[in-house]
Amino acid sequence: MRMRKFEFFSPASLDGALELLEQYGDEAKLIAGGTDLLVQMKSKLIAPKQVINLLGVPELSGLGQNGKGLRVGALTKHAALENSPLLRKGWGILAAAAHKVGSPQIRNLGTVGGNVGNASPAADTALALLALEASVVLISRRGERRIPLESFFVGPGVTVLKKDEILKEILLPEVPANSVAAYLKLGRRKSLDLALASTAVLLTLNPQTGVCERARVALGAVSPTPLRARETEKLLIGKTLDEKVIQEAGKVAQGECQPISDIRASAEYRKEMIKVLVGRAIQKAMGIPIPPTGI
Amino acid sequence: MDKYHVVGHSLPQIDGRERASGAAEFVSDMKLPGMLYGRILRSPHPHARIRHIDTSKARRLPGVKAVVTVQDTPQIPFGPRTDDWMIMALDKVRFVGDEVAGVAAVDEDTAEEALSLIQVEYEPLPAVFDPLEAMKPGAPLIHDKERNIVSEFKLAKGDVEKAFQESDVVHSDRYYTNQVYQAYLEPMACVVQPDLAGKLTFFISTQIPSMTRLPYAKALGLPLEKVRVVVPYYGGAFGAKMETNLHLVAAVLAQKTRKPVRMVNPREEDFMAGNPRVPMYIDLKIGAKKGGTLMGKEVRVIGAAGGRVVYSMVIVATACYRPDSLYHFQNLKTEGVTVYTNTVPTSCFRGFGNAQMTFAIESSLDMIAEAIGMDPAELRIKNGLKTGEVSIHGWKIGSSGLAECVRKAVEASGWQEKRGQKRFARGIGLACCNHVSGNRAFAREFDGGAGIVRISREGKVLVYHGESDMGQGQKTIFAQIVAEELGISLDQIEVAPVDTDISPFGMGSFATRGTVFGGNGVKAAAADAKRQILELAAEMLEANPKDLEIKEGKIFVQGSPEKSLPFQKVAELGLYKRGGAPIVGTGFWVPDTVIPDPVTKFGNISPAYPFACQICEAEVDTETGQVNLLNYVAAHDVGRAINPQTTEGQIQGGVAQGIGWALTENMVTEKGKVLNPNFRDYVIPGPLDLPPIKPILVEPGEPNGPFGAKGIGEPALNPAPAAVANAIYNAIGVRFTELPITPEKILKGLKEKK
Amino acid sequence: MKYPLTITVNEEVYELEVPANRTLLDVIREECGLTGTKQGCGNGECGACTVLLDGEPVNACLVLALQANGKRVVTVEGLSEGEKLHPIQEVFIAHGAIQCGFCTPGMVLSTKALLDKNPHPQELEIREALTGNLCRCTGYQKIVEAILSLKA
Repeated sequence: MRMRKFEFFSPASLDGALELLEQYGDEAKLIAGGTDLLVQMKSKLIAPKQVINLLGVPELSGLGQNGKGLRVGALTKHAALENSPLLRKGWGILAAAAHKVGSPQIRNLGTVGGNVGNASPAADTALALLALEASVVLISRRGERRIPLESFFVGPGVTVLKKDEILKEILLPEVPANSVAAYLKLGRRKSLDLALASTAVLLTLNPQTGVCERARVALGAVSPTPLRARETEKLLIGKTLDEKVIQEAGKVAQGECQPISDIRASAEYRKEMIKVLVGRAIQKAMGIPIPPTGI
Repeated sequence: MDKYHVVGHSLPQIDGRERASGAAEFVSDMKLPGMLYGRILRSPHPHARIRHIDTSKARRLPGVKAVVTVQDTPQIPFGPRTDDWMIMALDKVRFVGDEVAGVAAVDEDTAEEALSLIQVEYEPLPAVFDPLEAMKPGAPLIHDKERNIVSEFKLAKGDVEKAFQESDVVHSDRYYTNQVYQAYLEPMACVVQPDLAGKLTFFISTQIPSMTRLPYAKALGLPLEKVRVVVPYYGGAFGAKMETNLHLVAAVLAQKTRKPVRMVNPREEDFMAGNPRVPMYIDLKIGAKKGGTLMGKEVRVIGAAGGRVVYSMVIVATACYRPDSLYHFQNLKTEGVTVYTNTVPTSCFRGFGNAQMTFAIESSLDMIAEAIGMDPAELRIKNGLKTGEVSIHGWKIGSSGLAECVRKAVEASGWQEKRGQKRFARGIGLACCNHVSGNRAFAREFDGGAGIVRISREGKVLVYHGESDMGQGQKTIFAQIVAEELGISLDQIEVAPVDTDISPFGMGSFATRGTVFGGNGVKAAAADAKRQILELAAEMLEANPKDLEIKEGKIFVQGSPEKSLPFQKVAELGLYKRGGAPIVGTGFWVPDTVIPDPVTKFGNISPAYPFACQICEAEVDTETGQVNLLNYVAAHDVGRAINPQTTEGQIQGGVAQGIGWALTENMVTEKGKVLNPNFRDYVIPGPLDLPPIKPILVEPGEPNGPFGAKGIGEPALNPAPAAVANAIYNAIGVRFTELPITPEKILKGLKEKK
Repeated sequence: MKYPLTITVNEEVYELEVPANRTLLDVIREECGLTGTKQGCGNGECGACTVLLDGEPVNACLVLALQANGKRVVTVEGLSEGEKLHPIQEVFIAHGAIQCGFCTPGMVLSTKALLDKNPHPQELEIREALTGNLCRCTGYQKIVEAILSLKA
């Protein structure tokens, strides 16, 4: 329950942070909101010798328009995303997902960069970001690289972030007009819970015919990483989303995931729930009422 | 009901300001000069022999002041009921979490680091985790006994076989009530302070301040007078906070270092080595006639004690026979077995065996009602014990509000129309319970209550009692009772913290006894103080004490209110008259309850029996298996509510815990290790998870209770799991006999039904 | 190794030197001696350690003390002024919203944060705002009723 002792640094610039990272490499950890890191350090899962505080680094903060898209600085808190009027311009599921993270207290500390960097397959914001086709900008002293979020995750808790890199910001493209979206999370209770299964869907519907012209479906907690359900997306495109298609989409999503059993839920249940959640998320996105239970 | 000026009123807690402002000092807040911080090294094995312990490295760590093992204790076997405890493990560890060594250091970081430097050589032994397995011959033996059976309970009345033959319906089922954790917000904590003469003061969160001194003194090899217990504010208990080695290891460290030692369980350790509920297998068979008359009950209970016995055997016994005084079962055959297992020792949790058994009984009665086509509410009323009756075990029901509870709950919940609707996936369920207000069978030396009431020169009243306020509001209830008895206002009363050097010997707060026993004790003391102050006033007023009354802070002659003196003035003048001696009233109350006959179990064990009926309305999401509770009504026979608001709060809190148990709470273990020792994965209800809970207070008046009151603490929880299970059955037609009823189980049940 | 730390707690400035592994909760309870803020779990799962950090409710057990350098903290002690309790504390007492009181300091601060942003919340908004504060004694109902009474 007590953390081991460590050296602490509070760089005032991105350069300063990168320099420290380069210097201390393997033994150092970055801290922003601390809501994942401190829990891991208290349980002695990790015991870094150096901790580099990013909260004072201005280049990592900021939430604003980026041309027609959106730029989300890594230090942006979940509370800021939850409440941002800017996100209503099409990126609403990111706010919805941020709202589901932990509790109000956790949302006032935790950052989206930390949530994404922690790479939990159940991470709420990661799902919304995948559906919104986000890319992440990773920066080191060697330079900057921008990669699609989908390629960022490697496995549970593992990303392509190198030892000397910092996740700087997340870039979101403009959301096509006539898009609807929904984020659904299934837990064991109605708040302060990890997802047993979750999904984010973003659908672009033809305003005259109602046919689905574009679909993005992301699945959470049912795979080693947050997952883009490409087969499900393919199924939806070009179709009118009636009850039959929606049910079919749920079934295909089931086939795309590989959940595990743990103390929270069995793999079978998670698989069954993804089918239900994807179906209901599509309905919710389209404005069809869905049951309120536990989601 | 404005018969009384303080009792029966929803007055705010007298210590509300201290708790609301953060000024209240809880055990884990205490800081004493020179205080050290203690931690315990706990066994990682469920069952192992200890070959060797090397504390040398730990002792050398700068900042470490002492490292202790069982070698630093008198090695006296002791325990709350059996002598199977050791302060720290002697030759074996018997559960993951068992205490092996203790450390005291200058700060918490150092104490924790020292733990990692203690080297223990274990020889793992075969272990057994389920009581059904542990009972079998050939199972690994956990204590130095021939078998793992701690105790057996047997009881038979009449002829159950004949009763079942004469029944039109016989329902049989196996129930399993799982192991759940009390989840009080403040972990177990203590500060133990030594003095120069070797006396130890235990500042502890304990429900049994006086009682706990006995096993503690024995374990430490100290005369009883060297063990003093003081009870500061503490953050909840719900049955868990009785004897614990946490206090004793801290005591040994305090003795060794001659400094106060504070020890607080990290939450994870509190899960591992707390005192969770006794998990039980309950095989229950009930027979009934088609008119609804219950004919007989056969029940077998098997409960897991864990690695040592706390109170599990009394809890199993209680499960075995308490509901026999709720309904007339007429013929009984009962067997209960308590079994050692290599798991965390189990103990009291709100309901004390009656909660587990109520789940089984109320589920079975629901099925019987359906089989005979009778309204479950009517079935309860038909067979329930009434005021004035004596149960099959000799329990004298001085008051029973059961029927009224059922009727009021039925009315408030819309029971009739909702049952009539027959909407798939939406249902309503009912469950009742009885309980005790104090249990002579659980207490040993006596069951009674006592108080001391001291009136100061300023006319302020200080009340001493020996029970324990764990947050249920006992202090305020005692203050209200004293204020009522004395005829003065509540703000004149202060209730002293329990200090066993000064306070009366109290049995403690368990068995829902606080209001009746503690309340009657302080009421008697207040009556004595009143007698004394009226005698003094009579002299001053030149009147007969029999003609005097106290009202609104004035003592006056009945019928001649102008002949009066302020209460404060009499206290002041009286004190001067008596050379400075304040008025001190003492009193006690001992009902004529008995320890039951060891063979027949016959005997009236409690002075008052509360009853209740709860009704739950639920909606099941048949695609996810999730349960949404829509409404909840809880009608409780409390005799008379001394403080209606406090009583309602107790009901709502108990129902919330029962709902958590029914739907989400489970200590998940694998080979004896708790896999979810945290609030992330041990899921208790949050503010969005509970329905509106409407408490209804039924007040028939109880002759033995102070101002007619009975208890509320445990009955608040007892019916809830069955009410939820019955609502789910009514909604989807699937009966769940195992707790918790999770979404996965519901989906599986729905699938199998098809 | 110790680091300088300056924090303002309840309008009082503390100039301290602490090792890096101290949490804000440690510092509030030990160095500042304010024990109203409680530790219930140490992992941000119960909310008993809730304080306002620059006006926002956070779990003090998950904040490194040094990360709060230069910031303003309000603990439950900061709500009352001597004998005078904050209206939120008064209604909690009046409505029976306090039993053991261990969750109360955190609960009261989360309530303050809610009411500062939304002075007239509906019941659902209240329950949402309190999702980070577990209570085992009350079942939350009287807490919600107490807060609703402030609207009137």
